[in-house]
Amino acid sequence: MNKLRIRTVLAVGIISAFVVLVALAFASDQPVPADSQQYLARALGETGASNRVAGIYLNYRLLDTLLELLVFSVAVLGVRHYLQQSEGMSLPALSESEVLQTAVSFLSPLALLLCAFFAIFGHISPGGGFAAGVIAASGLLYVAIAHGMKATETRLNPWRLALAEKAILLLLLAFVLVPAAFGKIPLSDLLPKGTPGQLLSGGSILIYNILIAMKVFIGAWLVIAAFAQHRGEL
Amino acid sequence: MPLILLPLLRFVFAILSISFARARKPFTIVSHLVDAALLSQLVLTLGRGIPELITVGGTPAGIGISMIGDQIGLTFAVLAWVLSVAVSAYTWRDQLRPYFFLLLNLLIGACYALSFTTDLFNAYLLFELSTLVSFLLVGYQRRPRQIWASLHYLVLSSLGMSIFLLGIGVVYAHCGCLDLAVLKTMLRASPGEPWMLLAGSLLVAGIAVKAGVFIFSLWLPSAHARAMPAVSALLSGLVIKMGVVGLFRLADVFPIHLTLIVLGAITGILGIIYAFNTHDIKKLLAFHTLSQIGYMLIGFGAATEVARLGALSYVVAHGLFKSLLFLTIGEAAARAGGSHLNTLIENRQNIPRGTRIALFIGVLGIIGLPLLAGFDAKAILEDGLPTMALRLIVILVSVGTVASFAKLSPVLFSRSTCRTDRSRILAYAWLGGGIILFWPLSLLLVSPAISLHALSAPHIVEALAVIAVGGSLYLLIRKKRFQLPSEIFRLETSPLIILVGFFLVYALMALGQ
Amino acid sequence: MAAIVAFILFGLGILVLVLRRDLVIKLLALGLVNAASILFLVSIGDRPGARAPIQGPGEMGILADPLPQALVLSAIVVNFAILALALVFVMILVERYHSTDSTRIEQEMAREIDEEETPCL
Repeated sequence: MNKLRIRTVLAVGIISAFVVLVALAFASDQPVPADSQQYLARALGETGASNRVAGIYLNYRLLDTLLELLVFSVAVLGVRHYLQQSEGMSLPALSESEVLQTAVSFLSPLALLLCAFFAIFGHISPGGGFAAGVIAASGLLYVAIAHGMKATETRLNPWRLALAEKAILLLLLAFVLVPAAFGKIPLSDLLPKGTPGQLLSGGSILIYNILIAMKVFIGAWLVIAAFAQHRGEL
Repeated sequence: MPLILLPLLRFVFAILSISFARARKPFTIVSHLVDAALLSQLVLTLGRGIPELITVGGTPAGIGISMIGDQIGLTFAVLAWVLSVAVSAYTWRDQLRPYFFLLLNLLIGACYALSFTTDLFNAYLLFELSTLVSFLLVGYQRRPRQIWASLHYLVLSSLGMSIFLLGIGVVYAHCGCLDLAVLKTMLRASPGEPWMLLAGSLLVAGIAVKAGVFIFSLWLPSAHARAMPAVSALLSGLVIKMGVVGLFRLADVFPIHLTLIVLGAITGILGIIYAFNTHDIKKLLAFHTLSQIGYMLIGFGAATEVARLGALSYVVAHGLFKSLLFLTIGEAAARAGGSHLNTLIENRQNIPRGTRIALFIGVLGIIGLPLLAGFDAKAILEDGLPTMALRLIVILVSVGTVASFAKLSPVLFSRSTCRTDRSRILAYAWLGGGIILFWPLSLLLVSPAISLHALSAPHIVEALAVIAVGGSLYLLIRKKRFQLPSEIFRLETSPLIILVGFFLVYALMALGQ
Repeated sequence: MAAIVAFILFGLGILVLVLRRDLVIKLLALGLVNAASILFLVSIGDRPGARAPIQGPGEMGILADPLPQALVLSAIVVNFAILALALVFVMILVERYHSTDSTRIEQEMAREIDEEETPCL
C-alpha cells in the first residue's frame, strides 16, 4: 500500500512538473506568426488548389502522405494477419430486421455518394481522400449489419479486395515515380494547375484524392471484415 | 534523385514481395543490386565534394521536404544496405510468410529515407513507420513475452514521438518551417532564443526514446532480447541507429553537445553495469547495444572533426558486430535449447562450427581486438576526443564491455559436432568479413591519414591493456551477484523516467548554451 | 490557450498510463496523449478571427495556417494505426491470460516455464 502511495505521489509530481515547465516555457515567449504566412501565401499559386490544406499535403508534402498511407496499410495488414491466426469466437448474428434493411437501403448509397463527392471535390472544398474512404467503409458496414456479413462477403470477396488494395498502392507508387522517367524528381506534379475553384484544377491532386479514397475504403473495410470474421458474425 | 529512389523502390519491392511471393528470391537479389548501384552513385557524388541535395517533388527548398546525401546520411544508408543483405542471407532458407518480408523491406526503406531526410515532420512519420513495423516484427511469432515486450516498445515509442511532435509544434510556432537547414540559418542569425531550449529538449527527448539512450529506451532490453534473431540483429544493428542519426542531425542545429556527452556517458556506464549482471545472453547483447550507443553520442558531442568521424565509424562497426552477434547467438541458442548462459555452456557441442567461429569474430570485434572493426573505430574516436575525462569514460566502458563478454569464453572455446547451414555461413562471412576488413576499407573511405594514425602503437597497447584488465576484472568479481533495480523496466515506471530524462536534457541544454 | 489545455491533457494521459493497471485503459490514455499533441499542433495555426483555409482566389478574409492541419492529418492516421495494432496485441494477450490487468499478466508470465528455452529459429 505504501509503495503504491509513493508511486502515485511521484507520478503526479513528475508529470505536473513537466506540464508546468513546458507550459511556462511555451507561454513566456510569444510565437512570431510572420514567417508562417509563407504556406498560406504560396499554396494557392503554386499548387492551384483552393483548399490550401489539400495543396500542402498532396503537393508540397506528398511524401508524408505516401508514408502515412504505408502506415495505414501496415496497420490493416497487421490486424488481418494477427486476427487470422487467432481462434475466433462464434457469436450469433444480429436478427434480421426490416427497419434496418429499409434504413440501410437509402443510407448506404448516400454514404457512397458522399465518399465520391469528398474524393472528387477534395481540392475545392473540405474533405479529401481519407475522409471519403472512411465514409464509404461505414456505408458498407451498414449494409453488412443489415444483410449479414456472409451475404456481403459473397458479393465482395476479401481476397480480391486485398489484391486490389495492393494494386492501388503500387499504382500510387508508380504514379509518383513517373516524373523520374522525364528527368524530374519523383513526387513532382506534372499535370497543369488550371484555375483554382474549377473541378479540373490543382494538377494531380484530384487523382491522388480518388486513389487515396479507394485505398482507405478497401483498407478500412478489410479491417472491419477481419474483426467481424473473428467475432463470428456481425 | 537516388536519394528518393532508394526508399521508394524499396517500398515498391516490399509490396511486390507480398503479392508475388514465389518470385521473392530473385527479386531480393535484384533489389539489393539496384540499391548498391544507387548508393555507389551517391558515394561518388559525395566524393566529388558537393553532397547531393534534393527537395522531393521539385518544390522550393524550405517549403517542401529536403533530403541530403552527406557523410552522415551515406554512412547510415550503407549500413542499412549491408545489414539488409546479411539478414536476407540469414533468412534465405527459413520458412517465413511473405508478410515478414513485406515488413522487412518497409523497414529498410524507412531507414534509407531516415538517413537522408532533413525535414522534422518527415522524420516523425518515418520513425512511426519504423516503430510500427519493428513492433510487428518483434511480435511475429506471437509468443506472450514477445507480445508483451513489443507492447511496451510501442507505448514508449509512441509517447516519445508525441513529445517529439510537441517539439515540432514549438519549432513551427516560432520559425514557420520544419526544415533543419533553414532552421540552422535562422538559429545562427539569432542564437540563444528562449524557445530554442524548449524545442530542442522536446525534440532530443523524443528521439532519444528511439535512439537507445539508457534512461529513455528502457523498452530495449526486453524487445531486442525476445525477438527472433534476424529481427534483433536488424533492430540493434540498424533501427536503433536511426534514432542516432536524428540526434546527429539535431546536433548540427541545436547546441546539444554537452547533452550528448552526458547522455552518452550515462548510457555507456549503466549499460555495462546491467550487462555484467545478466546471464541471458540475448539480454546481454541488448544491454551492450545501450552501452555502445554511448560511444557514438560522446563522439558527436565532442564536436571535433575526428571525433565525429570516429562516431560514424563506430556506428558502422557496431552495426556489423552487433548484428553478427545476434545472428550467431540466435542460431546457437536454437541449437543448444536456450539463450541462458548455463544452457549454452552445457550444450555447447551442439553449436555448429561456422556459427562458433563467427561468434568468436563478433566477440573479438566488440571487445576491441587490434586490427578489427571495434578497435579501429574506437581509435579514431579517441584521437578526436579533446579531454582526458572523455577518453577515460570511453576506456572505462571498454573495460566493462570486455569484463561482461568474458563470461562467454567457455562457449567460444569448444568442439562442435555439426555444421552450419550454407546460407547462414554467407551471412556470417559477409558481416565477419566487414569486421576483419574494416581497417583497409576505412583507409579507402575515410581519410588515409586518420586511419593510419589509428593503427599506431599507443592505441594497440591501450586496446590490449583494456582486454587484459577487463578479463581480470571478470575473474575477480564473477562470483558476486549484484542486486540492480529492475523496476525501471516495467511499463508503470518507464514513462516517468522518460520525463525525468527530459528534465535532465533541458537542464543540460541550458547549461551548454 | 488551447496550447495550455493540450499540455494539461498530455500530462493527464501520461498519469493515467502510469497509474492504471488495466491494459485497455492504458491504451486509451496513450490515445489521449497522442490527441493532446495533435491539439497542440492545431492550436499553433490559429489566428484571431481566422476561417478554415479554403478560399477561392477572389475572396477575402483571414485564413488559419494550413500547414499544421496538413501535418495533423498524417498524425491522426498514424495514431489510429498504433492504437489499432496495440489493441490487437492486447486481444492476443487477453486470449492467453484471460485478464487485462497488467500486473497479473506480468506475474503469470514470470511463473511460466521460460519460453526462451525453446528454439526460436
